[in-house]
Amino acid sequence: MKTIAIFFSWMLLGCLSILLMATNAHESQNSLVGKWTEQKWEYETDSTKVPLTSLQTTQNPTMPMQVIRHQAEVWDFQPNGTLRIASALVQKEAKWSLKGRANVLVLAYPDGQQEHYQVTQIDDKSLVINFESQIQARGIAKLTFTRQ
Amino acid sequence: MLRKLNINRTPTDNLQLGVITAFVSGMVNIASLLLFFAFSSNVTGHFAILAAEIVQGDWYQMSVVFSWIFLFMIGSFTANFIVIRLNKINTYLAHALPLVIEIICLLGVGIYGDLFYAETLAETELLMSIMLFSMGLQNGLTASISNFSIKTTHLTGITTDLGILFSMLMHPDFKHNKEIKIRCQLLLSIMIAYVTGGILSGLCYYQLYFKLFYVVAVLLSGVIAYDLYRVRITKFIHKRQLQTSLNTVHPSRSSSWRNWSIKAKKSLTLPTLRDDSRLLTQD
Repeated sequence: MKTIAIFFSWMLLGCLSILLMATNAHESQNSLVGKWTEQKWEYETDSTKVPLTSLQTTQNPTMPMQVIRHQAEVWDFQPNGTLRIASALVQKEAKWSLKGRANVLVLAYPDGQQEHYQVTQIDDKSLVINFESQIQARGIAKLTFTRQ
Repeated sequence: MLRKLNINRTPTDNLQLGVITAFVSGMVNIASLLLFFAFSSNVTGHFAILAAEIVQGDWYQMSVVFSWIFLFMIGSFTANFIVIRLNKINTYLAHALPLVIEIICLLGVGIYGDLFYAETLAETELLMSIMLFSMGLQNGLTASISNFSIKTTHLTGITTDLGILFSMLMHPDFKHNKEIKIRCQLLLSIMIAYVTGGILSGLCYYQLYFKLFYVVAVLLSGVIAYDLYRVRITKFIHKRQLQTSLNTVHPSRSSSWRNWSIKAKKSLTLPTLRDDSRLLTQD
């Protein structure tokens, strides 16, 4: 009887940890909802770390081909999982989701193209994401947003 | 694979179990990486992340990683709990039950992902938790029944052991040691199976997505079915041998084997009852 009680108390602890995680997940996902304005787009591997403003274009030979450059855009994360990206030049929509332990932002475009970003920092005012080229390494392109 | 425990296990038993479960782990690990961007079978990395999150003070992510590690441990706890509790009743059942739970968990992930998954964070973390629990179950089971000689969900220990064993094989004293060679063969097979499972999972991912878990469930069911078949065959052979030996000892009773066995049982039980009653009267 005692062993069964021990077994079930372990199971209960496991269930509690899952419950706690699921409850907080909703909160974590909601922290991204809202409009974010892109401030900076920079190469982290570049030693000079020159920030690229909205209309600057710099050719970098180390840049992977699949990187989509987002310039001076407003990202509107909606609670239903839709992301509206808008700028003077671009208007597009994608599906957004957080994966892993809320550390990976996945954008899926209607044409099947996907972008993965590592969520480096998020608080009430700012959002910093890194383009993710590999799961274990931080991406070279860093995007900084501020909440509107 | 599942019928024997610890010292009764042959290298072939360990090899069969090790290869199939390592293949499954490789598949599940890569599937979780591609679907949820997190590893489900190796916990060492999660410990490193936990430490990093503590340093950064990100309590939410820290709690998530801690829960995953904890669930992996609960999986291992459950597997060993079942093995040591049920082993005296039925060895096969004790060893098959954790695998049955693992199949249910992974099938659950597959079915939910295939039909209901809306890509919310809560779902992702819940499904990851179930996968980590099932990997803990598998690792606990294989380690428990093989006397800790095989662990199939991660390769850190195996790589270390292989390095040690290879260095031993370079030494003239151990060069022809058969046990070391068998152990090397076992560990290499586990390593290859894990990597092969991962590659296959990566190749099939874009066609199957969550249906990958159905393949995993079929593989694990194969292990259970194979051993059930072997248990039944062994029982049948044992029964036939017993019958043949009894027929040679008591040829007159060969036609009524069942009657004879009932009588034999009665003759064995009665004196025991009498002894018990004698003991009671003495008290």
